[in-house]
Amino acid sequence: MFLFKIGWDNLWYNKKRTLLIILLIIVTTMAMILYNGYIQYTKEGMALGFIESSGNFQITKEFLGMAEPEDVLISEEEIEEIKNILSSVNDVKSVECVLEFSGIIGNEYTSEIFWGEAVDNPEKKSKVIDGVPVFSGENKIVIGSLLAEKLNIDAIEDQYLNILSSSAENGISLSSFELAGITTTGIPQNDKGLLIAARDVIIDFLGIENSASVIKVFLNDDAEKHTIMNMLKNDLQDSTGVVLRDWVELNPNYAQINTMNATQYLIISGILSVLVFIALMQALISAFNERLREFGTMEAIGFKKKDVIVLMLSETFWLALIGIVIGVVCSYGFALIVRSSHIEIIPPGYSEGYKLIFYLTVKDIVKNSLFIFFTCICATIYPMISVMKKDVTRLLKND
Amino acid sequence: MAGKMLRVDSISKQYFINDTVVKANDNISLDVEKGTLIWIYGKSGAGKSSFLNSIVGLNKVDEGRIFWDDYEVTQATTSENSDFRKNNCGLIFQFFELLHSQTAYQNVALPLKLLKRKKEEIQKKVFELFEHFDMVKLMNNKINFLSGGEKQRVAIMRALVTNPSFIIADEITACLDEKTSHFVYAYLKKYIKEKNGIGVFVSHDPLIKDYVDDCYYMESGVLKNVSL
Repeated sequence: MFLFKIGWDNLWYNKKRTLLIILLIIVTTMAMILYNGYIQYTKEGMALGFIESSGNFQITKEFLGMAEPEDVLISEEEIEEIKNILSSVNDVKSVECVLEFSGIIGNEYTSEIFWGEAVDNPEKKSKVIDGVPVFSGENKIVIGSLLAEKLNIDAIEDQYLNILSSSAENGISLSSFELAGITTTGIPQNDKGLLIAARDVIIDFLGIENSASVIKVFLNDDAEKHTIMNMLKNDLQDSTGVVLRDWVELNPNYAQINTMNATQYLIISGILSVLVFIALMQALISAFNERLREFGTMEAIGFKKKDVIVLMLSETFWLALIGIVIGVVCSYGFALIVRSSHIEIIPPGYSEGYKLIFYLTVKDIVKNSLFIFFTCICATIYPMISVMKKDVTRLLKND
Repeated sequence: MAGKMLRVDSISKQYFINDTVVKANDNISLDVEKGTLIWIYGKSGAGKSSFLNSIVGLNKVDEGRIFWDDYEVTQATTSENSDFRKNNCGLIFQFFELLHSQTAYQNVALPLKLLKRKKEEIQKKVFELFEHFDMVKLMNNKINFLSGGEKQRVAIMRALVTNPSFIIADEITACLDEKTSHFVYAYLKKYIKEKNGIGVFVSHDPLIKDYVDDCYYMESGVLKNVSL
């Protein structure tokens, strides 16, 4: 234990060098923890966003091989059957039927293509930035902000829009809908043609039977999705052409972005650890070389080589420990400051930003800290070996 | 072996410098009895330090054998020699060789900590020495804040703190004034006599003459006994 005490004292013999090394370890620890936190937040944020929009999993009918176009819709009986099965599962939060439709929307000025989603609770579908949401049973619609722009809509009051759409059962339908509000998804491409309406109203409008293009299932715990999907698959064996896809499968860019982020993290971690490794090794080589006579004296008065190794490692241990502990504390403080500063980041291709948050978990902090710690220990090996190769008399001669 | 504590039997040590053989110690034999303090002097490069290093196992000799009682330094491993020095030898170096990050107290206490002695025992023993060497006020000073003479006294205290039987000293009074040199020699002589140990001192200081029992002159690696 006294060797660790001597190691500690040795650090403060050359304060400037020690503080610079500690600063380097602090910066590296912070950079790795915060970057990892940012990636984790991006990953979690993306997952939540995708689940919110597509559900934990979706049920659709397989289009390919269907004889009739209406067969791609899930019928009322099938909807009821699926809802009955899922109602007995505790982890199911909600089941949402979506009827997708598309066509042309226009007013007295112009007309545009739209793609619509008719849902049972449209007021929950998306936040409205102007006007009010649309509710079930209302002959109203909410459209995307860029679609509103293209339709030259300045004010929402008393705006009526004509919608032309078609269905396999009933052919072309045309009707006038009151504009309730304008929404945005944050993605300009989506806002150019988005339309939200009540499913019961659109079923009437299209003149079709109660049906849905997609059933979105929302769960309390995403980890249960595969169990519930398998259970549902088994129970729906008699239903032809029903396909179940989880949100990861429905959003392939989730995995791509995560892989990209993980690669970036690995590269940055690699660069930082190489920097720490070289800087620390350089500092230790000069620190140990300055003290060759001291190591020689220690061996002369009875210290064994292993005692001197423990002393050298203890110095690195303290440097790494101080640097990592301060780095972790600073990372946590920095993350709190950023969170309370409400800094927004607007990713390329998005019209709305999201709050910058570093998602720090104990597991990630420990993982990064251990990585830096072992990098520091590895940086000690070469300087240590170069001292150990010298016998006592060479050490005493500072040779 | 009876009555002899240090027996050096025909040791030789040579170095190679740029393919040139340099004989540091050439067939040296020496017997030193208990309670004896010997003085070795000679020119720089004569092989005095090599000899000191060899007898405590810091150097491996090329030929010959070295015994301290029944312990043979030349047959022991590096680790065994470390233990031997830790338990039996007090080494005092010309340039003090103290740990600069430690206080005077910590430097003196170091060998006892290495021997895993109890804290109270360490404190008692170290304090006694500081009192004896009149350095209690400087006990908690870092080494850099001590004068050359003070550093040497700390180095001597570090060598004596474990009560070793053998004192190996290399030019220990080079930084001391005459009065302190007399004090140190007298103290070490008394210590060796009381302990019935052995002192091997390398020095250029003629003051030592009055305190030693035997004198040797070293030249080109050859050790010759000379009268005092």
